[in-house]
Amino acid sequence: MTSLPPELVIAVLVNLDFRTILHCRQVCATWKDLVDRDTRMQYTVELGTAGMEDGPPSNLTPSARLALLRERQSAWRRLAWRSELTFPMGFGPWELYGGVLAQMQDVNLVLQQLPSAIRGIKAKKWEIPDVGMDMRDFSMDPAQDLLIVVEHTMVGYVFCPSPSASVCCLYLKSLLTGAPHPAAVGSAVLRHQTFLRPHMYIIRIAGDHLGTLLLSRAPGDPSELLIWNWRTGHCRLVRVNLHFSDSSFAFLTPRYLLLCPFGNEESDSPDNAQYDDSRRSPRILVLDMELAPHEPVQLKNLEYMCDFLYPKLGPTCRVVGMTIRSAPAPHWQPHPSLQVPFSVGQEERLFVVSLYVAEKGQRQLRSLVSLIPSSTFFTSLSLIPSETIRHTFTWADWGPKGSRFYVTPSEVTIVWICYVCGMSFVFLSRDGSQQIVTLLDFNQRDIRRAGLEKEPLSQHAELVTQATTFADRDIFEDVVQTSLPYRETRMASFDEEREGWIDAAMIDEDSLILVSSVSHLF
Amino acid sequence: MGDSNRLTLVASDGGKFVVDKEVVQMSVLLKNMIEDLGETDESIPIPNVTSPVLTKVIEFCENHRTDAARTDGPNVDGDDARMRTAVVSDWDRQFFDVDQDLMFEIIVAANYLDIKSLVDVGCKVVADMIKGKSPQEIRDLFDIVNDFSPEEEAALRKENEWANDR
Repeated sequence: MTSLPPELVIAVLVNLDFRTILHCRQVCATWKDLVDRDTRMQYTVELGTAGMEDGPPSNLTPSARLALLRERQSAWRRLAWRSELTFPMGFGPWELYGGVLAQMQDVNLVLQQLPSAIRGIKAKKWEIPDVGMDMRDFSMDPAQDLLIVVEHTMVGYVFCPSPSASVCCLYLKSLLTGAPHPAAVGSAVLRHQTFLRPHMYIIRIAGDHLGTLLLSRAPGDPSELLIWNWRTGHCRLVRVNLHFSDSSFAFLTPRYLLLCPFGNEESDSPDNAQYDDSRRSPRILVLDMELAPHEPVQLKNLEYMCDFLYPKLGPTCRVVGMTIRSAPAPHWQPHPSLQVPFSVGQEERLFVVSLYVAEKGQRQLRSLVSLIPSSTFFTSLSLIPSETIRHTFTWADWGPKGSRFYVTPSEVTIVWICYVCGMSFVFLSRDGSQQIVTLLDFNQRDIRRAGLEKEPLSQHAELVTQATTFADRDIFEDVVQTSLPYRETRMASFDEEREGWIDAAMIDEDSLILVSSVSHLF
Repeated sequence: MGDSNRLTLVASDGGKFVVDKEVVQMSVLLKNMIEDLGETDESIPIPNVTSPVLTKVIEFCENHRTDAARTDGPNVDGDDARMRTAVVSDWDRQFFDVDQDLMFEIIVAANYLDIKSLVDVGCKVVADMIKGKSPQEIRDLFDIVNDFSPEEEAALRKENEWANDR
């Protein structure tokens, strides 16, 4: 290596990941100098700090990309509006994912590509006419040009063995044209016969995997979780009958699924067991799809890989709602046609677990979010062999240092659910007539670097490293502390009377969205 | 009379190599030289490259002659895009399974002869050797002398600490 001229040493080092580049900087003075003077390596290191990845080749040079990346990071840190857009929201189903906002208007689906000045994404609006009269819900992944339309019909009586059975159909369409998706080589329609009468469908897409959770509020009904490979169609990877009426799931990786089983148990009568153990002991299950059964299985017989326990709730408290969310899906990459200079990294995600807690004799629900970076799960999973079954991580194993509890206003995570993107969580709170948007960023590398370099913080930002403590026992049985650091940024508040009522704040890769009778973007 | 499709290259130690013109032309340096010379029977001296190194370089070019067109394809982003798309095959890895001195001599020769695909592959193979190693492991690997004072070293370690996730 010492025989190589400097330009060839650089040609070697530019191939490296940001961590090894930093190691090379410590090798000797010559190498440090080479690293510090090279724009490509500086760009790689900045991407590593930001938890982002380089985009496809384009006419943007590495130094132009580096400048854009710094501009982006600085805009998010200050929560500075770069541009503002407003557009109406209808009352129909809507979705915000991967930079696209979709809304049903009558039977038509109206789609809008949210623009980004920094990443060179242009605004675009298009419409898919007549998506379907019987549409119950839809989901999409702009990166794969995929639109999923859910229909649930009883018209399939002739095909069903029992009159109470129905068929849930997932139509796989192109998000641009509405035509059957060309990559769905198995079938453009996935059919599932069920005895449930679902009131809600939770759909998540991670690469080839399409997860659907059917939730029913009918007494005694369980929920059903199905994972398909949507490209091959008939390959049903996982089918679990949860003996809980309400649940939530998210992909940790395309292989591992995080599941929050929750709700009334099948055997559960409304009166008893309301304060029983399961309602006081929330947990997150990890399911390895490579080992999961293809045949329907009850959750109690399911050989899940491990679970992560939360601390037990106090004797007068119980969980009445629990959801888990992250976005975009692991390994998600924007559609190549967007030619973005960089995009959110493939692995690092923040999982937002919302816990709604009712206390005996209290009308008001307590709303608590548990914020968990994917690295916390990965660190724990690396400690157990991959074929492990039903390993339990106690709260002390993972929670105090690997997560953070945060008390939010109770309506935060219910309707306007796109509150997480990458490593950031956003929410709206009120102080009198003031409406304040707060962003919590859990990118640990960025936080550590800012701390080490004593980065000057903007007026409204704070690096929070001290622990959050629940000592009053009104939620948990024991004292609970969480201490995972985060960066909290507050946006100058909006006065209700002057600037109008805001319902919620949502977040996407390039936009912060305030929902009201009109919506804002930046 | 020689074959008009073949050329003779002479290494710095006098070793002679008869090679297809098409293969020789993967070197931008030699390609330009041949164009300047026109039709000639004269052999081409390569003064900076020894026989063992030239043998390897020719072996690489012979093997990669068919994909030469690929690297001449449209370059969206000039050198940078090409760097990122160069793929190291199993054959390439085997090819570079030689002692370090020879490996670096091949890369230097490829750089001198201006054979971009060989430079790219070589640099990637070396990068793979470095990937994930600690500063000391990298020094040991290449016999690099640590010329930092203990204080400088500690300061640098602290400066880069944020990147260590666990």
